Amino acid sequence: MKTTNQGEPLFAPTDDATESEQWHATTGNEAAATQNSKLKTQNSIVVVDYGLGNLRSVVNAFASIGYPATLSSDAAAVRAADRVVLPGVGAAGEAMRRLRELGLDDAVREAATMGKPTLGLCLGMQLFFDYSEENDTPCLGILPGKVRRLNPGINVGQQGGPLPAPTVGTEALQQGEPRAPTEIATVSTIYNLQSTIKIPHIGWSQLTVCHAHPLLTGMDGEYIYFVHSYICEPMIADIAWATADYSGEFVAIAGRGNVIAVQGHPERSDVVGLGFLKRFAEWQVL
Amino acid sequence: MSPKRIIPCLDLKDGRVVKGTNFVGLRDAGDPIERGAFYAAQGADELTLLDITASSDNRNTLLGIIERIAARVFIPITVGGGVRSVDDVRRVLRSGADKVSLNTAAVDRPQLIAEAATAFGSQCVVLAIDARRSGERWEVVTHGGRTATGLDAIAWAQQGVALGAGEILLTSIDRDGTLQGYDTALLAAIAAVIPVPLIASGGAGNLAHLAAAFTAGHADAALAAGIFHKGQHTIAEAKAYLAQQGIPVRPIVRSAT
Repeated sequence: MKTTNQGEPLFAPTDDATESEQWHATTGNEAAATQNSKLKTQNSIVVVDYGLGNLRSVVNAFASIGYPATLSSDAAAVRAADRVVLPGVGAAGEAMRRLRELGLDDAVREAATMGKPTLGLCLGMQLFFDYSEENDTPCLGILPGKVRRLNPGINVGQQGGPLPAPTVGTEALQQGEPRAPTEIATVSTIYNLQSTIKIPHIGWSQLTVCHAHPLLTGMDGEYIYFVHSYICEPMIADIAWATADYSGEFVAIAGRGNVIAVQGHPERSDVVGLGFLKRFAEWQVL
Repeated sequence: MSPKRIIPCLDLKDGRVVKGTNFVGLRDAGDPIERGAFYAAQGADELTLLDITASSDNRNTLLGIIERIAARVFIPITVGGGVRSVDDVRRVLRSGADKVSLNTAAVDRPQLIAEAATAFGSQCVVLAIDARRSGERWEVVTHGGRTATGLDAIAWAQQGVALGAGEILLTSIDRDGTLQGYDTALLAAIAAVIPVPLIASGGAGNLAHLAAAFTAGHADAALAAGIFHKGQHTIAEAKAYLAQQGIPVRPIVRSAT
């Protein structure tokens, strides 16, 4: 590991945006990796590196379950990958600026459009939506809706209660098909977040799965780790696949077709999160 | 109510866990990687590593440990001790830590909080405050209590949050190491004025103390070392106790991956 080389200057700065590396966890799971090696040749996973956040933990997590992933900031590498993961913590404005600079915005959009299994984590989930209030940022537009601050003053809802039943069939939501205004439900209006919550939301919250999906098997009622100050507001209720509670419901997992996005951090969510990442690595999109 | 977090803290010196006690099932209690995995398996919600190595000569040792622990432990990891610049923060995060805790360096130069938060986001910036009772108030101290700063702990916590700290790790130096319980008055005083999560630290000696951090102290998380390191209680026992007291905790799950 280069960070442990004796001769290296202490805490030498690195160029985060361009550093690109393949990194394999060195502890355990070699047997699982060998067992999966045949599958892996047609199953390359690229974790998009745009220099923000603890990206290594995502790579570590995949390695630990026998699916080595490559960390890359190269758009060509993202295009060549079979599965694409957009992780990240930090601010939306800076993240989108870096993605655009590196040409990664188009590469990620293409992965989603071409039907590759595409996963957004935390800020990565938020960037999948059309727009984020954070830094007034136009995002990738892979999922319909917007991102807004987890704000006590704004989050107080009128109605409360659970997510509504889907009002629009998924078949009507395929890429490129226009959405009629009557089909658009603003999911946020049904939330009832109390006014005395601490921001950021940091901690483990329990999932309520509201959409039967193979990737979410066994996750209903389980806890994953969250760190966020913003939440996604899908424009269409039935792309909200799971909710969590933080003094009120918010969308914890959203998805459509080959795209899935998690507001929490499965890579930091122990066995529950690792199980989810394994199912993503093995996901056969129909 | 959101589940309250239990965070074991490993004090590291020259790459080894200080005061390592040999538990059943642990080959080397002084090995931070083994210890971290041990606590994660018990249901720890996060792990904090505090490097108390006196000199800066062994900083790369710490980075190597972070890399190894992050490859094996899949719960959030916070690293503190000797982090003095944005470059230090970057190196610690790049090694695999999720959050960095700033203490003395932030007192010396508060703008470091803002710089780190701007570069990496508030969510990974924990402001560690060591406070000591001084009459009717609490004073911020550094260097394990040896240096008084003259800063008021409540005002410093508020300033830290305003600068971008995403969490406050509040240690009572009066109680630290005493096993007499957290300073719940201090915790409650800070919890009342900050809008970000508060982590209680210093003094936990039994399970009732953990509960008091959440009830009387209004903390969001409790950090403890001694009661777990000495094998007095497991994290599983702590969670069972808290649940019995009606305090929400994440149940322990070690099922299928």
